[in-house]
Amino acid sequence: MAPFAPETFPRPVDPEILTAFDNVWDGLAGPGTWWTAAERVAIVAATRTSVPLPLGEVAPDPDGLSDIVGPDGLSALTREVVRRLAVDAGRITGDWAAVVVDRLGPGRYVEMVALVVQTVPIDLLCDLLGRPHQDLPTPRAGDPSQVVPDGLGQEGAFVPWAVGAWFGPNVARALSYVPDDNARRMEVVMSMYSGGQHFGEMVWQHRPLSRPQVELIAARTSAINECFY
Amino acid sequence: MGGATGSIPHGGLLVSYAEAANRDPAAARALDDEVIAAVGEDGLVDAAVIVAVFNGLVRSADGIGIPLDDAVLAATVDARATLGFDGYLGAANSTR
Repeated sequence: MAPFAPETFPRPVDPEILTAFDNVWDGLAGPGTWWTAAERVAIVAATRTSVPLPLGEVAPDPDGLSDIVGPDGLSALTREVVRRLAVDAGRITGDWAAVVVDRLGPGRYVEMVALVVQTVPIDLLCDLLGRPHQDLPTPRAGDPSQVVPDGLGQEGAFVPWAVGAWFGPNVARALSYVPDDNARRMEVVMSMYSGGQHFGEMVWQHRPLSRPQVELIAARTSAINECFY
Repeated sequence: MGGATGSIPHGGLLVSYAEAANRDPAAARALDDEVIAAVGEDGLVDAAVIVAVFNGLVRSADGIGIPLDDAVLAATVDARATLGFDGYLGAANSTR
């Protein structure tokens, strides 16, 4: 049975969304572009256990965090980057990102972002619908490909991304440094929000909520997360 | 709770659901019956789907430092100032 089979949800969920979730889980179990499968699964496990810092506690300076790998397969630096992405992303600054990208390399950093942003929506939807989180997959063997795609450049983001003949919103090219994960991430986004030919239409009749209702929820969610973009 | 927000049917309830779902997903389920009564079970699932996917999108934007697309940046000068969005930390990524 597929991990996100319809019968595992207490309410009906669009099959296209569940297929996207299954593909994320399959991708999570394999080696990525910059992390092994075991490391990818460990990053998602750390995402799930991340909590905000207590009020008044200053976030650690990433320059001072160890990159020695611990028993969970991650370093203190990696764990803090995951924590920041998972529960404190609204406070990421350019200076913080510059240090982290310099220490981890752009590929490993972008792939961490990709793993967090693929799995947070899945876990959150499960929480909201009263479904237990899906067990993490068993990592498969293999080495990361470490392939840097052609056509990347530094153009305003913290990391290189697709440039040149790019047409489309910046959010769609955000993770172009890791194309396989970006494709799975975009499948999640397309199935849950912007699906296919409907995105340019102001009147939506293909889903239960109207477009104004969808955008109202989206805008409130973005504001609560203090996301400028 | 509930009612319209401007001309958006059940806008007040959907905003309340979004706020609860973002701050305490388990507690948000206390609103399920009210949301279903307003927009149906499929509508409740759709609302949960949108909250969930945007929790990924905001992390993509903030984690990568995505600058606001030029056309949107130009078209939203007044709205951003009025609503206080220019005070968000991530605004620096679009104005540097």
